[in-house]
Amino acid sequence: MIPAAFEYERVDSVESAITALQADEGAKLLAGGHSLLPQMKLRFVMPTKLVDIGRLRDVSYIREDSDAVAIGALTRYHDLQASDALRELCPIVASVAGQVGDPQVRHMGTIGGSVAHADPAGDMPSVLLALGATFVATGSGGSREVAAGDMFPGLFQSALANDEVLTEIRVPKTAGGWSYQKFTRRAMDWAVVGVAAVRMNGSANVSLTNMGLTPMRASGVEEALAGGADPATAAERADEGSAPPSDSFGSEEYRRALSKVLVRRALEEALA
Amino acid sequence: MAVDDCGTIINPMIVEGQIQGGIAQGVAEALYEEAIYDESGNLTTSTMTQYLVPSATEVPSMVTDHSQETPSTTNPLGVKGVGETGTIASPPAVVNAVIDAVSHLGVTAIEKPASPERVWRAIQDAKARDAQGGAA
Repeated sequence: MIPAAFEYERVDSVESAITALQADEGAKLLAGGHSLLPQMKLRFVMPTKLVDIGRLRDVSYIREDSDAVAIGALTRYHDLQASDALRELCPIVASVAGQVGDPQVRHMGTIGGSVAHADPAGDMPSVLLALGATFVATGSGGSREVAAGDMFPGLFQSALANDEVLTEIRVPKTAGGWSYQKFTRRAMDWAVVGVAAVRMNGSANVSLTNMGLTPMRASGVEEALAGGADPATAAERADEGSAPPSDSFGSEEYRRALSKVLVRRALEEALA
Repeated sequence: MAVDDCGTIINPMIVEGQIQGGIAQGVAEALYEEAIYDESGNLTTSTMTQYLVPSATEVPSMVTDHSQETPSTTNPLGVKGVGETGTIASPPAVVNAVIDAVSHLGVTAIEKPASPERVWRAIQDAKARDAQGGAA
Protein backbone atom coordinates (compact mmCIF):
# COMPACT_ATOMS: atom_id res chain seq x y z
CA MET A 1 0.00 0.00 0.00
CA ILE A 2 3.04 2.28 -0.25
CA PRO A 3 3.94 3.58 -3.71
CA ALA A 4 7.45 3.34 -5.13
CA ALA A 5 9.52 6.52 -4.90
CA PHE A 6 8.66 9.24 -7.41
CA GLU A 7 9.40 12.88 -8.09
CA TYR A 8 6.65 15.48 -8.02
CA GLU A 9 6.25 18.69 -9.98
CA ARG A 10 3.28 21.02 -10.01
CA VAL A 11 2.94 22.87 -13.30
CA ASP A 12 1.10 26.09 -14.05
CA SER A 13 0.26 25.56 -17.72
CA VAL A 14 -0.46 22.84 -20.30
CA GLU A 15 2.75 23.87 -22.10
CA SER A 16 4.94 23.29 -19.05
CA ALA A 17 3.18 19.95 -18.47
CA ILE A 18 4.16 18.87 -22.00
CA THR A 19 7.75 20.03 -21.40
CA ALA A 20 7.87 18.05 -18.15
CA LEU A 21 6.51 14.93 -19.88
CA GLN A 22 9.11 15.24 -22.64
CA ALA A 23 11.93 15.58 -20.10
CA ASP A 24 11.08 12.28 -18.37
CA GLU A 25 9.74 9.25 -20.24
CA GLY A 26 8.53 7.64 -17.01
CA ALA A 27 6.49 10.69 -15.98
CA LYS A 28 2.72 10.59 -15.67
CA LEU A 29 0.13 13.33 -15.36
CA LEU A 30 -1.70 13.69 -12.06
CA ALA A 31 -5.19 15.22 -12.26
CA GLY A 32 -7.65 14.13 -9.54
CA GLY A 33 -5.52 11.11 -8.67
CA HIS A 34 -8.44 8.86 -7.82
CA SER A 35 -7.52 6.21 -10.38
CA LEU A 36 -3.75 6.69 -10.58
CA LEU A 37 -2.89 6.82 -6.87
CA PRO A 38 -4.63 3.53 -5.91
CA GLN A 39 -2.75 1.82 -8.76
CA MET A 40 0.53 3.34 -7.57
CA LYS A 41 -0.14 2.10 -4.03
CA LEU A 42 -0.53 -1.42 -5.43
CA ARG A 43 2.57 -0.80 -7.57
CA PHE A 44 0.68 -1.71 -10.73
CA VAL A 45 2.16 1.52 -12.07
CA MET A 46 5.41 3.10 -10.93
CA PRO A 47 5.90 6.48 -12.57
CA THR A 48 9.27 8.10 -12.00
CA LYS A 49 7.58 11.48 -11.77
CA LEU A 50 4.11 12.92 -11.26
CA VAL A 51 3.33 16.08 -13.17
CA ASP A 52 0.47 17.68 -11.25
CA ILE A 53 -1.98 19.47 -13.57
CA GLY A 54 -4.83 19.42 -11.04
CA ARG A 55 -4.76 23.18 -10.47
CA LEU A 56 -4.95 24.31 -14.08
CA ARG A 57 -8.24 26.15 -13.69
CA ASP A 58 -8.32 27.23 -17.36
CA VAL A 59 -8.78 23.58 -18.40
CA SER A 60 -11.91 23.29 -16.24
CA TYR A 61 -15.00 24.60 -18.06
CA ILE A 62 -18.28 23.72 -19.74
CA ARG A 63 -19.03 25.82 -22.83
CA GLU A 64 -21.69 25.76 -25.52
CA ASP A 65 -19.94 25.58 -28.90
CA SER A 66 -22.49 25.68 -31.80
CA ASP A 67 -24.00 22.17 -31.98
CA ALA A 68 -21.61 20.74 -29.38
CA VAL A 69 -20.65 21.22 -25.74
CA ALA A 70 -16.95 21.70 -25.02
CA ILE A 71 -15.81 20.32 -21.66
CA GLY A 72 -12.37 21.11 -20.23
CA ALA A 73 -10.53 17.88 -19.46
CA LEU A 74 -9.88 18.90 -15.84
CA THR A 75 -13.55 19.50 -15.06
CA ARG A 76 -14.40 17.53 -11.96
CA TYR A 77 -17.33 15.11 -11.78
CA HIS A 78 -19.06 17.28 -9.20
CA ASP A 79 -18.94 20.31 -11.50
CA LEU A 80 -20.34 18.25 -14.40
CA GLN A 81 -23.09 16.91 -12.19
CA ALA A 82 -24.02 20.39 -10.91
CA SER A 83 -23.87 22.21 -14.26
CA ASP A 84 -27.28 23.53 -15.37
CA ALA A 85 -25.92 24.05 -18.89
CA LEU A 86 -24.77 20.44 -19.17
CA ARG A 87 -27.99 19.09 -17.67
CA GLU A 88 -29.85 20.90 -20.42
CA LEU A 89 -27.51 20.37 -23.38
CA CYS A 90 -26.10 16.88 -22.75
CA PRO A 91 -27.86 15.47 -19.70
CA ILE A 92 -26.39 11.96 -19.88
CA VAL A 93 -22.90 13.30 -19.04
CA ALA A 94 -24.20 15.29 -16.05
CA SER A 95 -26.24 12.36 -14.80
CA VAL A 96 -23.51 9.76 -15.13
CA ALA A 97 -20.96 12.10 -13.50
CA GLY A 98 -23.24 11.95 -10.47
CA GLN A 99 -23.07 8.15 -10.42
CA VAL A 100 -19.28 7.81 -10.37
CA GLY A 101 -17.81 6.58 -7.06
CA ASP A 102 -18.84 8.52 -3.97
CA PRO A 103 -18.96 12.27 -3.15
CA GLN A 104 -15.25 12.40 -2.20
CA VAL A 105 -14.28 10.84 -5.55
CA ARG A 106 -16.60 13.19 -7.45
CA HIS A 107 -15.05 16.27 -5.87
CA MET A 108 -11.54 15.25 -6.96
CA GLY A 109 -11.87 13.01 -10.04
CA THR A 110 -11.90 14.63 -13.50
CA ILE A 111 -13.56 13.66 -16.77
CA GLY A 112 -10.23 13.84 -18.61
CA GLY A 113 -8.52 11.69 -16.01
CA SER A 114 -11.15 9.01 -16.49
CA VAL A 115 -10.69 9.10 -20.27
CA ALA A 116 -6.87 9.02 -20.14
CA HIS A 117 -6.96 6.19 -17.58
CA ALA A 118 -9.16 4.19 -20.01
CA ASP A 119 -10.50 1.75 -17.45
CA PRO A 120 -13.00 -0.53 -19.22
CA ALA A 121 -15.06 -0.46 -16.00
CA GLY A 122 -15.15 3.36 -15.99
CA ASP A 123 -18.53 4.95 -16.69
CA MET A 124 -17.38 8.04 -18.54
CA PRO A 125 -15.40 6.40 -21.40
CA SER A 126 -18.39 4.26 -22.29
CA VAL A 127 -20.82 7.21 -22.23
CA LEU A 128 -18.48 9.35 -24.36
CA LEU A 129 -18.15 6.47 -26.82
CA ALA A 130 -21.94 6.23 -27.18
CA LEU A 131 -22.11 10.00 -27.71
CA GLY A 132 -19.42 9.88 -30.40
CA ALA A 133 -17.39 12.48 -28.48
CA THR A 134 -14.32 14.17 -29.94
CA PHE A 135 -11.15 14.34 -27.84
CA VAL A 136 -8.61 17.17 -28.15
CA ALA A 137 -5.03 16.09 -27.45
CA THR A 138 -2.44 18.83 -27.07
CA GLY A 139 1.26 18.20 -27.67
CA SER A 140 4.34 20.29 -28.39
CA GLY A 141 3.32 20.60 -32.05
CA GLY A 142 -0.18 21.85 -31.27
CA SER A 143 -3.55 20.15 -30.90
CA ARG A 144 -5.15 17.25 -32.74
CA GLU A 145 -8.59 15.70 -32.55
CA VAL A 146 -9.19 12.03 -31.80
CA ALA A 147 -12.51 10.39 -32.66
CA ALA A 148 -14.31 8.43 -29.96
CA GLY A 149 -13.87 5.13 -31.82
CA ASP A 150 -10.07 5.59 -31.86
CA MET A 151 -9.60 6.76 -28.28
CA PHE A 152 -9.50 3.41 -26.45
CA PRO A 153 -7.18 0.99 -28.29
CA GLY A 154 -6.53 -1.39 -25.38
CA LEU A 155 -6.76 -2.20 -21.70
CA PHE A 156 -5.90 0.95 -19.68
CA GLN A 157 -4.60 2.44 -22.93
CA SER A 158 -5.70 5.66 -24.58
CA ALA A 159 -4.70 7.07 -27.96
CA LEU A 160 -2.72 9.84 -26.22
CA ALA A 161 1.02 9.93 -26.89
CA ASN A 162 3.41 9.98 -23.90
CA ASP A 163 3.92 13.72 -24.20
CA GLU A 164 0.33 14.71 -25.00
CA VAL A 165 -2.21 16.23 -22.63
CA LEU A 166 -5.92 15.64 -23.10
CA THR A 167 -7.30 19.18 -22.94
CA GLU A 168 -10.89 19.10 -24.15
CA ILE A 169 -13.79 16.74 -24.74
CA ARG A 170 -16.53 17.73 -27.17
CA VAL A 171 -19.90 16.07 -26.95
CA PRO A 172 -22.83 16.64 -29.30
CA LYS A 173 -25.91 18.33 -27.87
CA THR A 174 -28.43 15.60 -27.24
CA ALA A 175 -32.02 16.69 -27.28
CA GLY A 176 -33.29 13.14 -27.72
CA GLY A 177 -33.66 10.28 -25.28
CA TRP A 178 -30.80 8.67 -23.40
CA SER A 179 -30.18 6.16 -20.66
CA TYR A 180 -27.32 4.84 -18.55
CA GLN A 181 -27.97 1.55 -16.82
CA LYS A 182 -25.31 0.91 -14.19
CA PHE A 183 -25.52 -2.35 -12.28
CA THR A 184 -23.53 -2.32 -9.05
CA ARG A 185 -23.38 -4.38 -5.87
CA ARG A 186 -23.02 -1.22 -3.72
CA ALA A 187 -23.76 2.38 -4.67
CA MET A 188 -20.07 3.39 -4.68
CA ASP A 189 -18.78 0.42 -6.71
CA TRP A 190 -17.65 0.20 -10.31
CA ALA A 191 -20.28 -1.13 -12.69
CA VAL A 192 -20.49 -4.93 -12.85
CA VAL A 193 -21.90 -4.08 -16.27
CA GLY A 194 -23.02 -0.70 -17.57
CA VAL A 195 -24.93 0.26 -20.71
CA ALA A 196 -25.17 3.71 -22.30
CA ALA A 197 -27.82 4.37 -24.93
CA VAL A 198 -28.23 7.67 -26.77
CA ARG A 199 -30.97 8.33 -29.30
CA MET A 200 -29.45 9.68 -32.52
CA ASN A 201 -30.70 10.07 -36.08
CA GLY A 202 -33.82 8.01 -35.45
CA SER A 203 -31.82 5.08 -34.07
CA ALA A 204 -29.63 4.65 -30.98
CA ASN A 205 -25.93 4.45 -30.19
CA VAL A 206 -25.27 1.81 -27.55
CA SER A 207 -22.05 1.16 -25.64
CA LEU A 208 -20.97 -1.25 -22.93
CA THR A 209 -19.03 -0.73 -19.68
CA ASN A 210 -16.90 -3.56 -18.23
CA MET A 211 -17.70 -6.06 -20.97
CA GLY A 212 -14.17 -6.47 -22.32
CA LEU A 213 -10.68 -4.96 -22.39
CA THR A 214 -11.99 -1.61 -23.57
CA PRO A 215 -15.26 0.30 -23.49
CA MET A 216 -17.07 -0.83 -26.64
CA ARG A 217 -20.04 -0.11 -28.88
CA ALA A 218 -22.68 -2.84 -28.92
CA SER A 219 -22.52 -3.11 -32.69
CA GLY A 220 -24.85 -6.12 -32.89
CA VAL A 221 -27.56 -4.18 -31.08
CA GLU A 222 -27.06 -1.09 -33.23
CA GLU A 223 -27.24 -3.19 -36.39
CA ALA A 224 -30.46 -4.86 -35.22
CA LEU A 225 -32.03 -1.48 -34.41
CA ALA A 226 -31.04 -0.09 -37.81
CA GLY A 227 -32.78 -3.13 -39.34
CA GLY A 228 -35.99 -2.22 -37.53
CA ALA A 229 -35.78 -4.61 -34.55
CA ASP A 230 -37.66 -3.69 -31.36
CA PRO A 231 -35.61 -3.06 -28.17
CA ALA A 232 -36.20 -6.54 -26.68
CA THR A 233 -35.11 -8.31 -29.88
CA ALA A 234 -32.11 -6.01 -30.43
CA ALA A 235 -31.00 -6.47 -26.80
CA GLU A 236 -30.51 -10.21 -27.38
CA ARG A 237 -27.39 -9.27 -29.37
CA ALA A 238 -25.92 -7.18 -26.49
CA ASP A 239 -22.85 -9.33 -25.85
CA GLU A 240 -21.87 -9.91 -29.50
CA GLY A 241 -18.14 -9.29 -29.89
CA SER A 242 -17.63 -8.70 -26.17
CA ALA A 243 -15.17 -10.53 -23.89
CA PRO A 244 -16.46 -9.93 -20.37
CA PRO A 245 -14.20 -10.64 -17.38
CA SER A 246 -14.94 -13.18 -14.64
CA ASP A 247 -14.25 -11.90 -11.13
CA SER A 248 -15.70 -11.80 -7.64
CA PHE A 249 -18.42 -9.42 -8.86
CA GLY A 250 -19.74 -11.81 -11.50
CA SER A 251 -18.83 -14.56 -13.94
CA GLU A 252 -18.50 -14.04 -17.68
CA GLU A 253 -21.74 -15.97 -18.19
CA TYR A 254 -23.61 -13.75 -15.71
CA ARG A 255 -22.24 -10.56 -17.28
CA ARG A 256 -23.42 -11.71 -20.73
CA ALA A 257 -26.93 -12.34 -19.40
CA LEU A 258 -26.88 -9.07 -17.48
CA SER A 259 -25.80 -7.05 -20.53
CA LYS A 260 -28.90 -8.21 -22.42
CA VAL A 261 -31.23 -7.13 -19.63
CA LEU A 262 -29.49 -3.76 -19.21
CA VAL A 263 -29.43 -3.05 -22.97
CA ARG A 264 -33.16 -3.75 -23.14
CA ARG A 265 -33.82 -1.40 -20.20
CA ALA A 266 -31.54 1.27 -21.68
CA LEU A 267 -33.24 1.11 -25.08
CA GLU A 268 -36.71 1.17 -23.57
CA GLU A 269 -35.79 4.32 -21.64
CA ALA A 270 -33.83 6.06 -24.42
CA LEU A 271 -36.33 5.33 -27.19
CA ALA A 272 -39.51 5.86 -25.15
CA MET B 1 -38.13 -4.37 12.24
CA ALA B 2 -36.11 -6.26 14.86
CA VAL B 3 -37.09 -7.41 18.33
CA ASP B 4 -34.36 -8.35 20.80
CA ASP B 5 -34.74 -9.47 24.40
CA CYS B 6 -31.93 -7.64 26.19
CA GLY B 7 -33.27 -7.60 29.75
CA THR B 8 -32.85 -4.48 31.87
CA ILE B 9 -31.21 -1.75 29.79
CA ILE B 10 -28.40 0.03 31.60
CA ASN B 11 -27.06 2.16 28.72
CA PRO B 12 -29.65 2.67 25.95
CA MET B 13 -27.12 4.20 23.55
CA ILE B 14 -24.90 1.12 23.65
CA VAL B 15 -27.90 -1.20 23.22
CA GLU B 16 -29.07 0.83 20.20
CA GLY B 17 -25.58 0.69 18.68
CA GLN B 18 -25.24 -3.05 19.20
CA ILE B 19 -28.66 -3.77 17.65
CA GLN B 20 -28.19 -1.44 14.67
CA GLY B 21 -24.60 -2.52 14.04
CA GLY B 22 -25.52 -6.19 14.47
CA ILE B 23 -28.35 -5.95 11.96
CA ALA B 24 -26.04 -4.19 9.46
CA GLN B 25 -23.51 -7.00 9.91
CA GLY B 26 -26.24 -9.61 9.41
CA VAL B 27 -27.55 -7.92 6.26
CA ALA B 28 -23.96 -7.87 5.00
CA GLU B 29 -23.63 -11.60 5.67
CA ALA B 30 -26.93 -12.25 3.87
CA LEU B 31 -26.23 -10.13 0.78
CA TYR B 32 -22.65 -8.86 0.48
CA GLU B 33 -19.64 -10.06 2.48
CA GLU B 34 -17.89 -13.19 1.24
CA ALA B 35 -14.40 -14.72 1.24
CA ILE B 36 -13.93 -15.99 -2.32
CA TYR B 37 -10.89 -18.12 -3.25
CA ASP B 38 -9.68 -18.88 -6.77
CA GLU B 39 -8.62 -22.35 -7.99
CA SER B 40 -5.08 -21.87 -6.63
CA GLY B 41 -6.36 -20.92 -3.20
CA ASN B 42 -5.76 -17.18 -3.47
CA LEU B 43 -8.23 -14.96 -1.65
CA THR B 44 -9.76 -12.80 -4.40
CA THR B 45 -11.73 -10.59 -2.02
CA SER B 46 -8.75 -9.37 -0.02
CA THR B 47 -9.35 -5.60 -0.22
CA MET B 48 -12.24 -3.33 0.68
CA THR B 49 -12.88 -2.94 -3.07
CA GLN B 50 -13.85 -6.62 -3.43
CA TYR B 51 -14.90 -7.53 0.12
CA LEU B 52 -18.26 -5.83 0.12
CA VAL B 53 -18.79 -4.14 3.46
CA PRO B 54 -22.09 -2.30 3.06
CA SER B 55 -22.15 1.48 3.29
CA ALA B 56 -24.97 3.64 4.67
CA THR B 57 -26.64 3.41 1.24
CA GLU B 58 -26.96 -0.40 1.45
CA VAL B 59 -28.16 -0.71 5.05
CA PRO B 60 -31.94 -0.30 5.47
CA SER B 61 -33.43 2.15 7.95
CA MET B 62 -34.43 0.40 11.18
CA VAL B 63 -37.18 0.84 13.72
CA THR B 64 -36.12 -0.03 17.27
CA ASP B 65 -38.07 0.09 20.49
CA HIS B 66 -36.91 -0.16 24.10
CA SER B 67 -40.21 0.26 25.92
CA GLN B 68 -40.62 -3.39 26.95
CA GLU B 69 -37.88 -4.66 29.29
CA THR B 70 -37.94 -8.31 30.45
CA PRO B 71 -35.36 -8.47 33.27
CA SER B 72 -33.29 -11.62 33.75
CA THR B 73 -34.10 -13.54 36.94
CA THR B 74 -30.62 -15.05 37.23
CA ASN B 75 -28.60 -11.93 38.12
CA PRO B 76 -29.18 -9.00 40.46
CA LEU B 77 -29.13 -6.34 37.67
CA GLY B 78 -31.64 -8.19 35.44
CA VAL B 79 -29.35 -7.73 32.44
CA LYS B 80 -28.96 -10.02 29.40
CA GLY B 81 -26.28 -10.08 26.72
CA VAL B 82 -26.81 -7.70 23.78
CA GLY B 83 -23.41 -7.94 22.05
CA GLU B 84 -24.22 -7.78 18.32
CA THR B 85 -27.49 -9.68 18.89
CA GLY B 86 -28.84 -8.22 15.64
CA THR B 87 -26.51 -10.58 13.72
CA ILE B 88 -28.41 -13.67 14.89
CA ALA B 89 -31.78 -13.26 13.22
CA SER B 90 -31.05 -10.84 10.38
CA PRO B 91 -29.25 -13.25 7.93
CA PRO B 92 -32.06 -15.85 7.83
CA ALA B 93 -34.68 -13.08 7.74
CA VAL B 94 -33.08 -11.39 4.73
CA VAL B 95 -32.21 -14.59 2.83
CA ASN B 96 -35.70 -16.00 3.42
CA ALA B 97 -37.17 -12.73 2.12
CA VAL B 98 -35.09 -13.09 -1.05
CA ILE B 99 -36.23 -16.70 -1.52
CA ASP B 100 -39.84 -15.66 -0.89
CA ALA B 101 -39.55 -12.93 -3.54
CA VAL B 102 -38.63 -15.50 -6.23
CA SER B 103 -40.48 -18.53 -4.83
CA HIS B 104 -43.23 -18.18 -7.47
CA LEU B 105 -40.51 -19.10 -10.00
CA GLY B 106 -39.87 -22.39 -8.22
CA VAL B 107 -36.82 -21.28 -6.18
CA THR B 108 -36.63 -23.01 -2.78
CA ALA B 109 -33.07 -22.27 -1.60
CA ILE B 110 -30.28 -19.71 -2.18
CA GLU B 111 -26.87 -19.80 -0.53
CA LYS B 112 -25.51 -16.85 1.46
CA PRO B 113 -24.63 -14.23 0.46
CA ALA B 114 -27.56 -13.97 -1.94
CA SER B 115 -25.59 -12.09 -4.60
CA PRO B 116 -27.36 -11.03 -7.80
CA GLU B 117 -25.57 -13.86 -9.65
CA ARG B 118 -26.66 -16.50 -7.09
CA VAL B 119 -30.27 -15.33 -7.35
CA TRP B 120 -30.04 -15.38 -11.15
CA ARG B 121 -28.58 -18.92 -11.10
CA ALA B 122 -31.25 -20.15 -8.69
CA ILE B 123 -33.92 -18.85 -11.07
CA GLN B 124 -32.19 -20.45 -14.10
CA ASP B 125 -31.93 -23.79 -12.22
CA ALA B 126 -35.59 -23.65 -11.18
CA LYS B 127 -36.61 -22.94 -14.79
CA ALA B 128 -34.50 -25.88 -16.01
CA ARG B 129 -36.06 -28.20 -13.41
CA ASP B 130 -39.49 -26.94 -14.43
CA ALA B 131 -38.79 -27.62 -18.12
CA GLN B 132 -37.53 -31.13 -17.27
CA GLY B 133 -40.56 -31.85 -15.11
CA GLY B 134 -42.88 -30.58 -17.83
CA ALA B 135 -41.28 -32.82 -20.46
CA ALA B 136 -41.44 -35.98 -18.32
